[in-house]
Amino acid sequence: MDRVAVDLSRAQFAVTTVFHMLWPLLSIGLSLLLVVMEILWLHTREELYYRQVRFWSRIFLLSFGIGVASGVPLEFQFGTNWSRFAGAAGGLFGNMLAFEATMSFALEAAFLAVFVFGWDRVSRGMHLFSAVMVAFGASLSAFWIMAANSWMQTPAGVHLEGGVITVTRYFRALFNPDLPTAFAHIWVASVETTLFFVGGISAWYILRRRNVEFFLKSFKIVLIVALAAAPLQIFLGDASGLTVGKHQPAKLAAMEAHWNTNPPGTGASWNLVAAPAKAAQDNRWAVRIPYLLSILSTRSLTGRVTGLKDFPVAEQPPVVAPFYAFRVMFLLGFAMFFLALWALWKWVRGRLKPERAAEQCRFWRLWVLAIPSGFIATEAGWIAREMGRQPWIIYGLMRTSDGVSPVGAGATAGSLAAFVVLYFALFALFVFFTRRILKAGPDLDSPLPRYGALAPRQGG
Amino acid sequence: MVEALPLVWFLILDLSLLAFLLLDGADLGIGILAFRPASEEQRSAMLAAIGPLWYANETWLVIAGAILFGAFPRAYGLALSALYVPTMMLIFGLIFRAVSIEFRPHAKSRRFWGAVFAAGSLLAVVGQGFMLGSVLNGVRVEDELFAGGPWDWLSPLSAVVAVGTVLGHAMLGGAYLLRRYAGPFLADYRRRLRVAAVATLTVFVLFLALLPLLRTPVSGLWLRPFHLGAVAVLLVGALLGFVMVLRCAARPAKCRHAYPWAVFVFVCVAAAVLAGVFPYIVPPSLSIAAAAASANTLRFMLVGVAIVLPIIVVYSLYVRRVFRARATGPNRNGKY
Repeated sequence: MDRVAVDLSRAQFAVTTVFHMLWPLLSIGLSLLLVVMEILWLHTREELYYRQVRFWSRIFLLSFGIGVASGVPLEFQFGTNWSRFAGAAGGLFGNMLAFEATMSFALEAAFLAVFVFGWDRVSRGMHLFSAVMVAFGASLSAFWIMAANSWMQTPAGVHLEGGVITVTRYFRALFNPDLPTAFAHIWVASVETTLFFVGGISAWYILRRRNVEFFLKSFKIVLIVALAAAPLQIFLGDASGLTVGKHQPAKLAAMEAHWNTNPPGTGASWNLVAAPAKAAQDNRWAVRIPYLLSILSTRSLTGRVTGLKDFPVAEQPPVVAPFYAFRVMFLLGFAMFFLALWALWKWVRGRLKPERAAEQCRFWRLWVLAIPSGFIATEAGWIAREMGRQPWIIYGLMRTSDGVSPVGAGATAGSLAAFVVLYFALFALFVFFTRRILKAGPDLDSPLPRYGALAPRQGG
Repeated sequence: MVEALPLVWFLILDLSLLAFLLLDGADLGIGILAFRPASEEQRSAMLAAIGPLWYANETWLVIAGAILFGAFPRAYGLALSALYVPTMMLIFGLIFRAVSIEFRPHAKSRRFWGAVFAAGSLLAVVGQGFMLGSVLNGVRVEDELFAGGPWDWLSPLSAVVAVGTVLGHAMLGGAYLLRRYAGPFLADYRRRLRVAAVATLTVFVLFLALLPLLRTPVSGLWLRPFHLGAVAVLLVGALLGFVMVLRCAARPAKCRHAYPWAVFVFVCVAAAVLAGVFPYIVPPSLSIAAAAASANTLRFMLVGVAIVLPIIVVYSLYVRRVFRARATGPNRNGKY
């Protein structure tokens, strides 16, 4: 009974998180893209950039709406399903969520109104300021959420007193060891995800020879940023790996299916693929690359990498899911990098000129295929991150099974089923309506904004 | 100082909850009124009235939730696990409302998504009503954890409170529409406001009549002499508010003034609930002081909030000013 309640609550949190995450990934990145486009519009006065802002903000609004709607259940689940965790850690954890809500979410929501509905009501400068505040609020939200989550991974600045977390050093808890790399990694992930989403949609139009000039413009802007973001993300991924190895060795061992600590003088090999078997405490088989794990996690040929067997079985995280999720993430990370390089090559050779662009069918098809790549990579990375933290809800301090609410399994099963059904429907509807927006294409005819024209008058 | 901190935070919590109740309450109330619009155009006009600001209004729920979580962690876990089903109603209702507003302009059948918008708003308010009703009923607690069953929230009292909450929201939404809107539907909105106000008043009186008959763990708290006095004064204030709403709704020239009186009713009732169970945050057993986080946490959060909340108020007022001009129809830029 108790076990079931824990698993159901975990499943519900997993479902709601995996679903919720899709939207901020897109809206954080798109909000930044919209700022860039609006600056270009105000700077060059080229109408094309204004149309870009209006076109992409439709998809932004859709993803923002679903993001807000699906984010509220996450906050409330800490109370409904994880009340013992909430009671023990709320003084710090709830506090960070309160800063998220007041500092960033409120900012984003208020200025979103001006950004979307205020074109005719405020000045140019004020409108750009609203766009910047929306983007700033979105990124600041990510910072606070990652601060709270990374504190669960590396809970610094606190001690446990009578079952309650007491904060001894607030700033040490906030800027815990995992935060810098984790926040940078997820923030760049949302930028990169959006770049490949926008790039892929642009490719879809170019492939159909619709609004080619319009979408070559967005593709090139996106490509310039992707050429910096994709390699940066690989570097940040490597840095995150080092942090995990240092602070959460069991998670690293699980993500790499590394069972036996390498004896001194030998290097730990890296498993490309493997069949981990927790019962046997070993891999049934594995394709290994000698020394690579030592190099990756210690920067030396024979550095010591703790194996999973050094942890009691009751403290080992699951292995198969983190191991493969991790591989999905980094393979996609490299694939996206090479796709960006290929696009650069095409650009340098003059193949991205409007008159020649549509000929590159295979190239554009690959970009269309890459639309979900960033989402999948980030979700996979998150699954590895969260499952690798198990069996702890606060790493090393509180077990997941000790954080759950005394809510019956029936109630949780009911809400979980409702979430699953609703979220599948919402995802399908998002795809459906986005396709409709895409089929309609950018609006190139509506009148330009009359900045401030509506401010004193009534009506619209 | 240490004694005062939890009270200061309780006040901040109440104010943010009140902000949600009044600001988004009007939006949700309009959603309930949108259940049976005279025409789909009228529903569009109703949506245009809440259009730019409902996200910002819903923010206050997230803020209030996070403040409850951070400042009163034990109350957060206890109340939400006890109110599991109504909380899920609120959450799912808000999801339906949000996505229907986003999907409707793109959809072929705007009627369908308009109906989802109304249903979502209604579900969210029903959830809130049952949350309030079950708190008034009292939450069963053992060892600081919820010790009741999954259906504890459902009782005759909580059902009456839920119905009253729904009707009250319809009243607030109608009054807000009359405030914001200047177009062909005014007479219809006035009629809707009158119906909602009379219905709310009826349930309100029924609730007051039931109150002495009910023996819940919480009624003992209400009946303490000083608290009873405060509650009585506030409830008389609410009755006065109802009368004024009805008077304003009766005359076209005055109908814009119904809104502040509807707000007054909400404030009186909310204050009466708080005064009745004070100093408990989750009646009848968890007090404000016992639920509070450590003094260190509260002090630290207070510094942050002292900086951030005034900034929020300033830009919220600015954004409301930008959209002060009353809408006569769907906003051109809103038609995304």
